[in-house]
Amino acid sequence: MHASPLPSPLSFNRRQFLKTTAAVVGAAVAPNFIPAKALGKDGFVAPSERIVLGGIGLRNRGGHDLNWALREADVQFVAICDLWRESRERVKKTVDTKYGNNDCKMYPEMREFLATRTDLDAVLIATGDRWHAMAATVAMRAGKDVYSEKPSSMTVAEGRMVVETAKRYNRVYQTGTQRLSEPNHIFCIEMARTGGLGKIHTAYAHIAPWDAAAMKTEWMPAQPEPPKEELDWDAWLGPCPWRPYNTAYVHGAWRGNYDFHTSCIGEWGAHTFAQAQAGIGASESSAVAYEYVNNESGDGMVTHFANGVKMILARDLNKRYWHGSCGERFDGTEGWAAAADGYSRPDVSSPLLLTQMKRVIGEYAARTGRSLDHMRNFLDCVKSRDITVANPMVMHHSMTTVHCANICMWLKRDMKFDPAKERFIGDDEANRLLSRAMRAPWHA
Amino acid sequence: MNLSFQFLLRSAALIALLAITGPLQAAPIDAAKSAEKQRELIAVLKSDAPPADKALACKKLAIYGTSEAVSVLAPFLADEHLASWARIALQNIPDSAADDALREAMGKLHGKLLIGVINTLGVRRDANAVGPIFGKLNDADADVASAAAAALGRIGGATVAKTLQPLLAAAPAAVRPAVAEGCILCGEQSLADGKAADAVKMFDAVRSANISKQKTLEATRDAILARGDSGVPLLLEQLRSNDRDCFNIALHAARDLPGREVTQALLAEMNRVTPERQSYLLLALADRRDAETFDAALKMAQSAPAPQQLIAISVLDILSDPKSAPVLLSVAASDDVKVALAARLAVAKMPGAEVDAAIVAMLKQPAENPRRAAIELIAQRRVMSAIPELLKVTEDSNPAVSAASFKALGELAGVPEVPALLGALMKAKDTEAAENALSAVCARLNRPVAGNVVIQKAVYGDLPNGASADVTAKLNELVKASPTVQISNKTLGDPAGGRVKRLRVEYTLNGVPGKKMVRENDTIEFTATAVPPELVDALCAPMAQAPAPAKLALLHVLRSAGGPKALAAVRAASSDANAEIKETALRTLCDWQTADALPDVMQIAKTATDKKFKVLALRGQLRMIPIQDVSDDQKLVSLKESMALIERDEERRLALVALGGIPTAESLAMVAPYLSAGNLKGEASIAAVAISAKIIGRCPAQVAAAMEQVTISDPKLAQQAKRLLAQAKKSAPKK
Repeated sequence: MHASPLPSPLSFNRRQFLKTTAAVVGAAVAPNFIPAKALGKDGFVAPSERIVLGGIGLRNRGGHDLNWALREADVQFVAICDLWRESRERVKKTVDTKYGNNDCKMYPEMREFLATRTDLDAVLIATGDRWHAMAATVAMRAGKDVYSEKPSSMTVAEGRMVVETAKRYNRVYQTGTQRLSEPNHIFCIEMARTGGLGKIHTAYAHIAPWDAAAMKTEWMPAQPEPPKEELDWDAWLGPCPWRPYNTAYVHGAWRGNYDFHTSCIGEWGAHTFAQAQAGIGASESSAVAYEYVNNESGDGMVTHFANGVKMILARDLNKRYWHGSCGERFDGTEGWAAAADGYSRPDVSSPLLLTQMKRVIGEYAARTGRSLDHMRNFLDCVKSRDITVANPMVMHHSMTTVHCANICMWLKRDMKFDPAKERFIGDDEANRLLSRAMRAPWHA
Repeated sequence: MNLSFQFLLRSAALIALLAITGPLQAAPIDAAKSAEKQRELIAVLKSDAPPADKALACKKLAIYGTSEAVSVLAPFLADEHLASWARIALQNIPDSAADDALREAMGKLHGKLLIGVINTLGVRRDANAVGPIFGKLNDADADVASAAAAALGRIGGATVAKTLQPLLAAAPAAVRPAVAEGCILCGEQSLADGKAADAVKMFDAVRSANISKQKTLEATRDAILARGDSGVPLLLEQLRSNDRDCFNIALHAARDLPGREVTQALLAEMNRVTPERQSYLLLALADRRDAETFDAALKMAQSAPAPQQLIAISVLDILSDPKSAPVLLSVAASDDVKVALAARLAVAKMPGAEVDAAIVAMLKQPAENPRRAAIELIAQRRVMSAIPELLKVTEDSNPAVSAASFKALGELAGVPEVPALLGALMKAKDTEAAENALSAVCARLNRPVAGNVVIQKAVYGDLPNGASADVTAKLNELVKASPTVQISNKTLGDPAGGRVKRLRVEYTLNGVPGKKMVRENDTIEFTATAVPPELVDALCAPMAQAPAPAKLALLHVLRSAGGPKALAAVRAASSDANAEIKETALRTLCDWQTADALPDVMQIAKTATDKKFKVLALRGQLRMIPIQDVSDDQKLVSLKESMALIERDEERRLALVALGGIPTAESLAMVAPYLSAGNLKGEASIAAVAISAKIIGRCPAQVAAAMEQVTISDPKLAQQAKRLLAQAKKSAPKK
């Protein structure tokens, strides 16, 4: 029972199931799992109650996700798929060390992995950005629930593909915008959403203070491809158009390249747009207008939402809005609130606002039934079939704003967008950038 | 959700879009410029440019390409490396010439190159490609045949349906999943074209083909939706399934299948299933937004077991109909904390004056729970008209209810309500709740006011290393005229033409030092905050007659309020005959937030006979001296006076911290003797380094002398001292 992606304000309100119904519904009904904590088993979980988890491309950031999942007593991680031998073996070592056995299986090819491991309930996906949407789609089509790192789409069409696949195959999906589950950000979002700051007129969303909106398009010099068993370059490219191998790409230099990245706007905007849009009541929509700014990054771009609220993209090199990374800020008629990484508590216009922190977080937890741990929220939803905090619609609408802001910067002009049709208004050239043909055999 | 509602939503969104962004016009496309770009890109493709340049040209033709580009792009479909790039362009060019080129290429290609072209034809839904793609359904390469089946499904039509359906059984095993996908896509096309019966046939064929559970579920959902009203039996069959995936897919379909009859059937089903399944069904019904759901949810919210009750409340929360307020308010007073909270939150944002009235009426109920729930809701909904009622409740015999009422008043009351709140304080048995409420009012009504601003150093330009100018004097002039200054070339001049400039400013605001960095065209504000004078007047008025407990509370509130009048009232209370009031007043003076109380605390330090007050006063003055709005020399005079009274190292440490904030040669000289004092050399070194960093330009010899004495284990501080010493030696005059 996954999100019904209707454009309805009612679509995402099945939260209380998590803490309540999941524990009492009979085994014949949706949740085949029963949360062990709910049964008071002190963390011991019988094998039949565990979530069987696999991973796709768990390098770097994926290692954090893996460790996050391995902490949970009701998770049994059983297999890793990675086109890179070294990464496969590293993950296997981590998992086997954790469980004290040699059971974690390795797979180099994703479709074989998903077809073979019918026992998997869910997969963690932390490939490079270029693969997130396609891997999530293939996994959901194979009946797996998905936790995918961000940015979760490369184009508006890819985001729509994830939404439709999750709906069609009834899958639980969570994108890795973990700040949506962190108390400081939840406080700011809830204060904005519930009128605690008065009427919100402006939100600010942090964009990465490095790189530019216009990305690199040139190819790095060709180098001999490594043996396929070591690193499958064709698989690494996946749905992206071909280019010759260069070792720098696979070691992180893919960032900042048009085909593999979503620019300085997507790098942090994948998080912060979702945070800001949650607070201004626009999680189920995207911006309707974009004002081009004549600089390299989109810093200062004003985006307009249908409810009249502006969201301004900010690099904030002078730390005017935040003193940490990946921040959002809400300005209302009665005050403001902001949060970013590294804060011991949110920044607010009046200390009085902070006295409401405990109440606001408590009420959020009561209202949504959600864990304040992003991975736990995903795992709980795998069991309960509840809606995750960073569900496909939240991901898609925030990423749509990211993609449209990028397109505005690339074509260097003001634009209007119709979120319902997911098309620019009166700009056919911009509309051609909403999708991108995938390299065979991949297709949406 | 029915179609008309979807239409309304979409229309509303579009109207909002046009209204909100009225002034912003989408920029027009420059057709001539685009045509020129296309010509340049075509020239690259025709040239001997390296593949990377041609790839980039293809990518750009995806934006600017027209039929003119097609014949140049088409040959690259056979290029192993550039085919994917050419398809990016051809897939987007809205001209049938692109379809013609893709179809023509099909006959010449194999393997992945062929698959790519088939995929693109599928995305473009080229009806003329059906024939050529049919030919690939029997391709020996299963991947090609699979791509063909999926692409045909995407194109759709009766011919495709007729061809694909038999293949569900006849195709090789490796191709059958793609055939199923094609059949489902084709069925969806038929449904979109209004041919529901054809669609149903396709979906049922996939269901009975039993190719995979995923495909069967997908087809089942579509089969329910394609049947419309007639889909109810199939929907119920799935809802009654013991297979969780079938049940889940049916819940999905239950949300999407339009029609009042469907709603009725789902409501009837609720009466025959377990309470757990009732919850799932109710949530699905809620997403349909039919009126009947409200009654079902209301019934469950009143009488169901707690887990189902929570679900029902969440549905009522979504529907937000004031008619549910009486039931939710009654539940909000229940003993089950989770259920009560959920109900309260549901009412908190429910619109309607009748909801407010119902909440205020709850205040009169005898039990504690409903009254506390009502008080919290009054505060959350900001029901200002309920303030008189809340004031009455502050006298409640139940301390928890009384305290809750004071808390709510702290969140709601403005200046006009403060006298009544003070009256409640006078009568209160527990003054703490009243004191907190009044302090909360002070904090809430704190507003920006102009303060005494002194710009100490302001630099404007291409910071940090580019051309810049000292604008200290200019900025001082500007802040005298207004505390809000627009930072621009117009106001500060342009020391770095063509560069985006920044302003770095160090200043004091009412004596409190601060620094800011702002960008060109930003606005900078130099404002302090203060509570409205009429609020201070109201707080001071009852001081003389207030009973002792209220007076003690008011002293704390006056500290929160601040300002000269509040200070005078506290000063007066410091001579009160009541020892407890006198002590509280003295403590309040020592703890005053601004330097206005400095003369008082200096006097206390000198004259107090009780050592406790002497120490408190000394600590107070060491905190206040640096934040005075006076010159550094005057601060040093005060500090010397204070330091003469110090008897303990604890206060000496505070004095060293204060000295560190006064950047003069004399303050450095006052710190120097402590650089070798065992217990104090840490604080002394920090102070000395801080002072030296600021005065090194004008007093290098004194800095050098002080830095030579710094012997500290903190490596960072030691490094700073070393650097300052080297710098000072370099610029000190040679002897």
